[in-house]
Amino acid sequence: MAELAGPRAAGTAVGLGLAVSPLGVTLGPPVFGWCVTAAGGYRGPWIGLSLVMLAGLGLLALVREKSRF
Amino acid sequence: MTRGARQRWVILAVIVLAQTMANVGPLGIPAIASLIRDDLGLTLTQAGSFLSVYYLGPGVLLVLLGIAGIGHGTLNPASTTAAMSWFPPRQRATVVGLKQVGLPFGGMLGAALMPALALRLHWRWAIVVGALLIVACAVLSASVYRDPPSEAPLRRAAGTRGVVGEVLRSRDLWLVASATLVFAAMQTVWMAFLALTSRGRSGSRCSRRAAIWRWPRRAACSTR
Repeated sequence: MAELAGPRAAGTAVGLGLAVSPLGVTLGPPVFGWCVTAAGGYRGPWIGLSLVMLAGLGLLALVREKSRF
Repeated sequence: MTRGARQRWVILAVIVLAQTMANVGPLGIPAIASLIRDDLGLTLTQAGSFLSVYYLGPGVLLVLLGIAGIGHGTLNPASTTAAMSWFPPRQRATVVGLKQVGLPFGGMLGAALMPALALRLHWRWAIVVGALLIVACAVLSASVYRDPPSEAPLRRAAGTRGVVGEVLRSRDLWLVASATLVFAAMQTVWMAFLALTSRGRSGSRCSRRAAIWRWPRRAACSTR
């Protein structure tokens, strides 16, 4: 994020990441737990989680990065 | 070695030291949790949650967590800005990687120091020593760190006006921030549920697989 923002806005950009990522830490486990209860087992929720990770990687694929070297 | 190169190494040392010291306390306290639990007479459930809430009350605890969060939360933006300012693009990834070494290293140091201090003095004094180390490191960082000469005028001219809006309007930064949310959620789910999944499959009270993945929590697992 710092590289994307550049030196002038690096701190603010990292701050944005630090403000957003704890939402995942807070919401992830209870949502997963609810999914396990609803599905009656772990198999489906683990597969679902791997798909969510693929979606996360997909988000990164959309980032337009400039070459900096 | 030129003066600039020498200064860069000093800045890197300051960054790694700050990252290390900031984690000595937070990651060292779990190592003395059993002493705290015995001293305060807490149950395992109470010890597993925020210890202080039973003594300070939720209001005071929230205020203290907020103050600690402001202090700890400023570390990463500040150290990343320092790395961005002092190092050329080719070296930045390595510098940020070295910076992150401070996190587990701080945990190792805390886990080694805190129990020794707690047994010799008292767990309360061990926490005070951890806090003082952080304050000393903050003073040292503030006195040693300087913006690079080429960066200072740019920073003064630009100030902070407009930077927040610029960041908030950036599509790419929101994409990366959203991805970090997903990865942080995944990491926490793995830590929280992998052992439970293994336990359910093996039917044992604490399976070998679970013990491997959750070795730092082995004591808690064995009591279930």
